[in-house]
Amino acid sequence: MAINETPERNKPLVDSQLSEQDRKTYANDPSKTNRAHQIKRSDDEFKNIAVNIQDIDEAILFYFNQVIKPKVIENQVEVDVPVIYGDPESWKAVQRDGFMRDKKGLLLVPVVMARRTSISRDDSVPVDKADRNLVHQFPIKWSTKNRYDRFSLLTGAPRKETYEVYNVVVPDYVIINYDCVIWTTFVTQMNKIVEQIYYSEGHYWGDRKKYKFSTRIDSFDQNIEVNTELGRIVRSNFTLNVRGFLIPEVANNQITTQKTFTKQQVVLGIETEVSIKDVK
Amino acid sequence: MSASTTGKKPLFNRRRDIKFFNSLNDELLNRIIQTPVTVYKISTESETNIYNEATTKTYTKGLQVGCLVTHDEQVTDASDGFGPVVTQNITVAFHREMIAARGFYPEVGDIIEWNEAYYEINAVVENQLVGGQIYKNFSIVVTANMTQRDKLNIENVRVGTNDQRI
Repeated sequence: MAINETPERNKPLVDSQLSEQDRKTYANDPSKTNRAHQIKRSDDEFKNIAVNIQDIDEAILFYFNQVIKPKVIENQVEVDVPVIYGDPESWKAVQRDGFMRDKKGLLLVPVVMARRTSISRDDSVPVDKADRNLVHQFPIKWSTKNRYDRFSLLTGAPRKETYEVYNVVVPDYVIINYDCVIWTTFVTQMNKIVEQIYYSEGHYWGDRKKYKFSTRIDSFDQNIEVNTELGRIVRSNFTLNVRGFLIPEVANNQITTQKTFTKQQVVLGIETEVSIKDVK
Repeated sequence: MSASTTGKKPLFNRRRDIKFFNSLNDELLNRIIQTPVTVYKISTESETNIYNEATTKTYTKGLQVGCLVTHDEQVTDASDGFGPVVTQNITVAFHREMIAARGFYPEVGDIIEWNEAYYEINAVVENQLVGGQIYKNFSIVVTANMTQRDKLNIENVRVGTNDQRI
């Protein structure tokens, strides 16, 4: 982490807060644009780093469906338990996810549902929100600007190389809670699913090719309901606690991943082969 | 007052009357109304676990009987996050004499198949006494709720595609 010399991501100050010096800077004078800040990004291979809420939701569902893969035995046959995000649109639930319902629209259980209920600040990772100039720096050592050329050959590479540096804002560390419901027909099925999920509690959930987040489950509430509408149903509720971080791709109308170059130097030295005494 | 206490023949609801009611209802249910249901009687031999549940149930062969079916409308509720969940309750009235002749008596937990859905009997009512006489009980009325067919072990529900749901 380093202090960014040019606080690009700062919100523009209101005019009353500008000093006389500020008014003279390039940033406040549209006619004098600082071209050092105009760095082309179109041919970058470095993608902007952004972690949004949907990434975390996808990580959780990915882990449920691809890693935990809850299964139960139903009528002596092993059955995959679908895990869905809560409150789907009706057409999706009934028409596309038709495998989860019979032709009368009755839900086929077991099924697991998860839905995000809250996002709160993670106080265990303090971040100075007032100073948005703090950045993580990701230097890329090889740059097209350091190509070996004839000048280097002649001069013995006296240049100090430049590095591409990608400055990414410090994330907002958050705790995201998911309310999850397991709905089964039998307690034995519920036991199996709870065992499988609880085994993964405390692990980092997510796709290893993307992002993974620390998780925690404190308890599973279990109850058996018998009512005249649905008959006997076995349900378990638990809260999945995810410690995540958020980096918006664009904040305050600026991209949060900024590219900069370190300064290049051409070092000129003096070499003498003849002493002044020998010059006559 | 019953015939046995006075020794006199009753004036109303005599055996002949009951026989007439029975034949009338038999014709009404089986030849005019014609709304049969299939009843699957659960086998008490089904093995249960410590939670008092049978994960693999067995049933007697389905028995088709004529009856009167009164049904509520399907209710769709999506409030619990799983998407639309359909429920429906029905009331099925059996003619006692008719089902007794077929050696069948509906009980709580038995399954009724009607209108391509399965309903689990949750209550049995036997209060239709002809002339208020307890030995002239005329009907058996059961209420049942639509139940998930995956737990019944009557048919395989985990087959097909989205547009070929069973």
